[in-house]
Amino acid sequence: MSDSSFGENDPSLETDETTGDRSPGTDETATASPLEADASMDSQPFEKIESASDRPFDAVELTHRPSVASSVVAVAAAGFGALLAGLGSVNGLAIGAVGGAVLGVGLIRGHRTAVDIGALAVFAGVVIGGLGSTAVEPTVLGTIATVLAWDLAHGGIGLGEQLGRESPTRRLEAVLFVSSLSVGLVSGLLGYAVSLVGAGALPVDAVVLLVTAAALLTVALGARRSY
Amino acid sequence: MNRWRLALGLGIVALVGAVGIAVWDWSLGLNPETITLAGACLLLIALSAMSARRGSRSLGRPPAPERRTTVPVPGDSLSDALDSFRTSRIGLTASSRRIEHGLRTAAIAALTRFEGVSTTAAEGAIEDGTWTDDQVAAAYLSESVEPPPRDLRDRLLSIVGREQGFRTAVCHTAGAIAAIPSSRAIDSDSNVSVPEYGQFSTSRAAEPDRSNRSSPQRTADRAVSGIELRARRSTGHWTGIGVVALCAVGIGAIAQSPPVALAGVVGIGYAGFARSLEPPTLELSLERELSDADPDPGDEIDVALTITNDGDGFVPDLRLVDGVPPGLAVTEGSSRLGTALRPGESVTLEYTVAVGRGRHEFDPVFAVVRDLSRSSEHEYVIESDTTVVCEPALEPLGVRLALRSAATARAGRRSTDVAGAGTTFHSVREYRPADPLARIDWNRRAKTGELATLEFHEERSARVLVLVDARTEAYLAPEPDATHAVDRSVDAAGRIAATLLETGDTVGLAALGPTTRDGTRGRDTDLCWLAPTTGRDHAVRIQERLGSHPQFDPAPPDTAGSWRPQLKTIRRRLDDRIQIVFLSPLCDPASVTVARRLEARDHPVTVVSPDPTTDRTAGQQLAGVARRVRCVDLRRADVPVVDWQRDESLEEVLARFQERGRR
Repeated sequence: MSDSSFGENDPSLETDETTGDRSPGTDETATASPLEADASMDSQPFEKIESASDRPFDAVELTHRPSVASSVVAVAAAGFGALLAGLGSVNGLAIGAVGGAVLGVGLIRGHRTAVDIGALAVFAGVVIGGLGSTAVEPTVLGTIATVLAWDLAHGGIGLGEQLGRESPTRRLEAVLFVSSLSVGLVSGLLGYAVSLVGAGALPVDAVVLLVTAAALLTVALGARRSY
Repeated sequence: MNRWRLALGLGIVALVGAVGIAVWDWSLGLNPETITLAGACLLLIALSAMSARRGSRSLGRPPAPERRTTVPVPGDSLSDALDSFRTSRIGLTASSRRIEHGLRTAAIAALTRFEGVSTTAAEGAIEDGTWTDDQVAAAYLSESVEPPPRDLRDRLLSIVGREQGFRTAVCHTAGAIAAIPSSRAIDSDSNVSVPEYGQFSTSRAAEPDRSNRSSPQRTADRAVSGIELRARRSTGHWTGIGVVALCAVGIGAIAQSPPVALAGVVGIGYAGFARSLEPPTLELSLERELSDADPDPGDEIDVALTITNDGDGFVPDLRLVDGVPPGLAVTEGSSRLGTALRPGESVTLEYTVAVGRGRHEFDPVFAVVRDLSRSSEHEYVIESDTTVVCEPALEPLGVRLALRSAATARAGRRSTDVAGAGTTFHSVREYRPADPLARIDWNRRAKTGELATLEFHEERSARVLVLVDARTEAYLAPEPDATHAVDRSVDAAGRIAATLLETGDTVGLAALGPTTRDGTRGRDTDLCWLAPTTGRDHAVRIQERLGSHPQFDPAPPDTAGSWRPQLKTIRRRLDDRIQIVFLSPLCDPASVTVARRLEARDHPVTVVSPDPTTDRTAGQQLAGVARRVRCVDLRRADVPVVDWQRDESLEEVLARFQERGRR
């Protein structure tokens, strides 16, 4: 490779290669040894200029876990449901509390089946509580709380999967919470109004018809939409 | 469809009847047993509904454009890494025992290149097992070497699976081959690191790296105009609410407990809510603002995306993913948004991206709209054009660039072997009349009385073509989303060009690689070509091409193009005496061919090679060995190679290259 001419920034080296020396006629340039060359290299460390190739991009890693606000509200609602169940019977409280815990764990892990099981347990607690009491209000409210918890938990998991915890989603979560709560309250109020009109205890015939209506309506409304 | 209408109608009749009984004391004369029966029926329906609803929940998976596009790591698959040895050497085609033969070829290649022994001697060393200290590796490649005694655990493992022992041997052998060059430079007590096995059978063509991720990295694979509806689906968010209703009413009926039966009404309310709504038609207008539309590579810029609801309806649930281009990475904040928008209202999504070199066009925005109950969703892509052009800074290097001697007749600052006027001493010759007075050796005249003339190295300028290897095979990085070799090459090309222009040399620019990204074959005129010349406007042109020419696109192309016609075109355009700085990772045999063909056509070539190899798996180590073998082969063919490691700056490596070349 003797035919390669190496340009450089250091004038103290072999004569046939040197270009940096600006004083013509000095013969000393030929006497520098490789050792000195090393020393001069070490004494002038190259300033490392940061360029695109030196700096890797630290991209944000989205946390695809259930969103915090929805999760907190969901667990609170489940807890509220369990408490209302406790008004009717202690067993209801116990089962509801266990369900709330399972729902919470499911939210921490982002596990949909655990959320389903937890919500079902809370609902079972509410039903048991309702069987042990004659007051309508705690059971209806407990059901609303349970459905709300389940709804928000799944919504939170979905938000985590689609958008991640880092993304701004508070506004969306607030809208969904309010809409879901109002639907529950309105339908609960309707049921409550029917029971009030029926003066506490409905006639047996009415209950049967109501049951049938419920069954048919749920089957009708629960049918999957086909696109 | 008709069934549920019938059910709905009957249900409403029953409901009216129930209310009538409750309010106006109608009588039907039913007994409690009937009620219990009805309750049991309801529970059965609830149970069947519950068992049917499993797995019905479906969510639209949005794309994940936040990170930069990934590129393959050299040696991702062991078989590819071994194949590259086979093509670089003639002979040894093996159908069975491919890996063993491949490893043997690799070992011979490494021994002959790095230890300087002949092929016969290398084969002998492999047969004796003397080529490595690793007994497992030595025994694997030779019949005559006893494998080392294995401990009990290994023996048990080998009973469980033969595969395990084979893998261990392959890993040891790859590690030993990778250690060949260092075994002479470093002391023998440096222990050989054994790599992981990695993947074997998948070849690069069969396995694009993007498939590892669950969601696509682009929001849309083509341009869209306006707002485009892509999909509509039901999310199944409320599936199962019927169970609540039916269970509550059923249990309430059996137990004759009004509170529980009424709880079912709540469930029915939610079920109706889930059914009754449709997502609104989306009418959005988007406006994207960048804090800097013309940043330098590595800069971070702020993006503000303003979303306005132009429709008349309330958008209760809008989920939005901005189409961050593949060359940008989100470094702060999030490019996703979940919100609700009243008519005429607007929100702003703000985040920060790091910009890499190149021309980046934002992809369409991906949006999912749901109705208030979240039971159905529509998926849209929305056009929004914003372009960031990020040109590399043409910053001259702190070192003079080592070039090969092929100077032009033009005066410049690059010293040549021609004697004449200049600044560097060349020789002394006899005085001839009319020699300039300044060049007479007056010291000698004073000592001896003779006249002599000093000769200096003439200083001329060089004509250089900077050729960037941007073929699909060059898009490689030590980690899938690290800066890849083409990015480093282009960055280096800009700085080398700037350095040469500063020293008065003429510089041209060309590239090998696909001119389009969609797989269609580009024309010759699409090739990046700037003939060597000088001047400030030329520097600007180089910067523009490096920043936005499609051949230098930071996103890896999908298909491999053909480089041979491109090389032919470039060679036709090259004048005599142009020398070439070739920037290539040297990770496939073709890159060596390019360098040697140009060298054979009397264009002195200097290769600057950014190293994208790493050493985690056996395949990756072997890919590294193959690359070093190519470097040695090129150097033996008198083509200087600058081996540019990942953690070094270009200045460091060029300065070291100069020092080594001089000794």
